[in-house]
Order: sequence, then structure tokens, then C-alpha cells
Amino acid sequence: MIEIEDLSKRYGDRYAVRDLTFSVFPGRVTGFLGPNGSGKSTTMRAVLGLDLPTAGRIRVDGRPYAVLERPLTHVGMLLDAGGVHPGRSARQHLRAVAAAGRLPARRVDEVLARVGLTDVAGRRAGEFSLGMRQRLGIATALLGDPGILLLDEPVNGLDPEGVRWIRDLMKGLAAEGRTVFVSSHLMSEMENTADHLVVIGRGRLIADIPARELIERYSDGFLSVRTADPGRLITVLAAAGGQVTPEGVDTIRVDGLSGDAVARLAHQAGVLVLEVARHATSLEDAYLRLTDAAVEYRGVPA
Amino acid sequence: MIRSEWIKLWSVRSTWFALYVAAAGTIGLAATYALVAKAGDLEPTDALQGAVFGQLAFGVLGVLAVSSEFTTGLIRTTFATVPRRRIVITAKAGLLFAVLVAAGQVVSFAAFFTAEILLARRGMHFSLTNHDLLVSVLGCGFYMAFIGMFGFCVGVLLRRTTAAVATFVGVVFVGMGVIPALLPDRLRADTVRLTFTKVGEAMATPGRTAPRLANDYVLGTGAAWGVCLLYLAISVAAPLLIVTRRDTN
Repeated sequence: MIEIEDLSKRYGDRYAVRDLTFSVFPGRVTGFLGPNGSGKSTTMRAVLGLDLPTAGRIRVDGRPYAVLERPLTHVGMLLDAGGVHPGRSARQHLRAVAAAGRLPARRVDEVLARVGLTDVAGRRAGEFSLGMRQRLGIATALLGDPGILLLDEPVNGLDPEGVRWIRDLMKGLAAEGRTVFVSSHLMSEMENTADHLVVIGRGRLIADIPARELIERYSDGFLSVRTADPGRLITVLAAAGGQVTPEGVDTIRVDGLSGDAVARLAHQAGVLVLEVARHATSLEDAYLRLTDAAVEYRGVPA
Repeated sequence: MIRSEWIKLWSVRSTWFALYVAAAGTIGLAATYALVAKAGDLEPTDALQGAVFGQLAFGVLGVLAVSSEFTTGLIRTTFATVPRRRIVITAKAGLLFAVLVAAGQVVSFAAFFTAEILLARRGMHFSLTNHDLLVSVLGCGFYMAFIGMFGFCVGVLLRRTTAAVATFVGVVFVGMGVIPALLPDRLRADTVRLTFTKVGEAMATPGRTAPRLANDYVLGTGAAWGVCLLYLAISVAAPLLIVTRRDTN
């Protein structure tokens, strides 16, 4: 479990993170979302003691990171770029990290097997594809068999197969009761993966809610109804409290009423309904609405 | 921690390459000198002048030993693994120094013996017991190790390989020669004596037989060793001081 309390980090006169408070709990995948430059990586580095916070407290398994005995047994991390010397073989890289973390050497072969790199463990990491390098990064994160995994943009640049592998891995790790904290600037990567979402923008907390709830709260799902008698249906639905707008010859858009209600009302009024289509908001839409105000750099429409 | 650094040091080719270059350059120049030296003005310590290749190679090795870790981002994993960064830097510096001292002496003695054997074939004989040649050879090797540690210091301070290598070469091989010339006369003699180059020369040439020119400013052997150890201490202390004060990004 990770507890972040009033975290602020200032670079020069600019705050990368400001008054951030949230906790990350075990047994689920927590997505850490925000546009580029919103402070995700800064927060993650601060958790690991790599960036020194300007203010605030961070606790990992109830204690400050710096006083953890053998930190890698608590937290495994995959930071951007993986952090592997291209001239060093995968096995030597893992051996060096294991030695520094005072972890048993047998863990090296165990994690190599887990990520499927056993056969290429002797090759220099510089010869690896991006996907293989990412697997090596995951292997490094798993070395200490940690209860917490901190993954910074783990699917960046991966091919679809690699993306699926990481997703399944994260779900599996959470199912084992571990805390999985994964950052991304793309909502679509979190769809179907994250159980819980922490959303930040411009260094401030925007939302800290279950993924399902985010959709519900920020969805503006509406119905497209095709009918033989748009004029009459508009009157009926408006009387029932729906916001109705004509869209085309025989189609109307309905906000604020369920598909059930529309069908029932039309039936009672004797209006023939040809089609009721639901336009559901995706997590992506909900996220974009949420972070719209907090996007720091944006292209100006031409 | 030392074990981890040991694995890191020897698992990249650049370490081996730097040591080969140091050995080939230093020993190669000693051999060349032994083959071309004129019988009349033989100066055995001149056989050690190839150490300049050793210094360059050791310095680059010192830079790379730490800058490659910053450049690749591995340092984040390392510092997250061992949050007490001074332990990391101490282990790195200690191991590197031990390796450089050993390698420096091996290279220095190898260069000397190569020259001795080749010169003996040409009928010119001298040995380690002559004059202070033993002190010269030891000093030459140790100075190389110090230059490597100075590279390490620059590597920690600048973190980026290209910037650190350029700075290292600029300071040691260019700046040390140029800056004294820009100073007023009354400061020049003392400044020149304290430059790395002249300290190294003082350490490597106690066995020198020919008298020095009056304007050749060189410290005495003991003083040179003292200054070198002081520089060495600063080269290790600076990284230890700065490493806990910055973010790792």
C-alpha cells in the first residue's frame, strides 16, 4: 500500500505536483492518469525517494521509503526507458540489481523464466527489441517478489501483443493480492485493466474513484431515436422530463431518459418507434472531459 | 553492494577496452622509446611517458563507470534499491579505485620492464634499483589511477557521458596546460607546479638523471604525492557531497 499525503514538488518556480493526497491499495490495478506533463512521473519518482519532495509525506507499507529494509522486497519498479545498459546482458543486469538489493541469486533465473527471456538472457540488452526490453524491465521489477509494483507508462511503444501481455500480467499480479500502480497518459490503455483510477492534471488531483464510477459520473450518454412521428414523440418525451432535440428528418436526440422509458412512453402515446440507439460514453470520453481544463499544452485548431 | 558494482564494471566491454588501450598505449610507447633512444642521452623515466595514454583511458573508464549508469537510467533502479546513495557512490568509487590502482601498477611496471629488457638488448642497462626508478614507476601508476578517479568525479557531477568525457579531456589535457599561461608571472610558477600534469610528472620522474631547466616548475616527490592524494580526496568527496542533494532524473 502506498499513502501519499499533501505531496508537493517544485522545480524552480513551477510546481510539478501540488498538494496531492491519495492512497493506492492492494489487490487491484490502480491506473494513474493524466495528460503529459501532469506530474505522474514526478509522483512516482517521489514515492521511490528519487525526487526529494518540496513538501508532504509518502509512506510505503506504512513507512517512509528511505527506511525500508531491502526496498526491492516491498516495491518493484519499471521507470521509463527501462534503465538497462545496452552493453550488458539481461542476466548480468539482473544479477547486479539482485546483488545491490541483497536478493538471492536464484531470483534472477526465476524472473527470467516468468517474463520468458530465459533463452536470450546472455544477449546484450542493446540487441533486444522494445518489447523484450520492456520484459526485462518487468523482470527487474519482479526481482524482489514485491508486494507493490510501480509501473511508469509500461505499454508505451509496445506492439499489441506486448500490450496484452503487460495487461494480463498486471491483472494477474493484482489478483495475487499485490498493489499495482500503473501510470499512463492514455485512457484507452487503462480500459479493461484498471479497477481504480487516480486522475491528475497540472499536478493536482482531479479524481480518485473506481473506474466504473468514473464512466457513470462523467458519462453524458444519450439516445438516438428514429420514429415515424417525431413531432408527437418530442412533445411526449419533453413532457416526461427529457431534453429532446430534433436531428434529421425522422431522428431525435434524447438526453436524460433511459431507453426503457422512451419505449414505454412511445408505446403509451401510440407512436411507432423504428430504432433506439444508445450512445455510451467510453472511459476515454469521460477522461477527456475530466482533464479538459487541465491539459497544459494543446494544439490550437487551425 | 561491492558485488553489484563488480558485476556492473566487468559486464560491459568498455571496461576491458579501456584497460587494453591503457596497457597498449603505455607499454607500446615504452617499447618504442627503448628502440629509438640514443645511447648518449638515455633517460629511463622517459620510457614512462606513454602513461598519457593510460591516463586518458583510465579517465574515460572512470567517467563511464558512473555516467553510463546515469545516461541509461539504471541509476534510478540503483538508488531505489539502495536509498542511501552515499553507500552506492562509496562502493563504486572504492571498487573503481582498487581496480585502477592495481591496473595502473601492472601497466606501469609492465612498461618499465618492457623498456628495460629492450634497452638491455641494445647494451644499455638500468634497473629498478637505479636512482629512484622504483618510486617513479609506482608514482606513474598511482597518478594514472588518480586521473581515473578524477574522471569518475566529473562523471558524477555531470552525469552525461559526452559532457563528462569532453570536460574531463578539456580539463586534464588542455586546461591544465593553457590556464597557467594566462596567469600573471608571479602566480605562474606555483600554479604550474600544482597542475595535474606537473604533479604527475613529479611523481613519475624522481628517477630522472638529467637536471631540470630553471623554468621547469615541478614539485618534489613527497610534495607531489601529497598534492595528488589531496586531489584524490576531493575527487571522491565532491561526488559524495552532491549525490544526496539532487533529484535523480
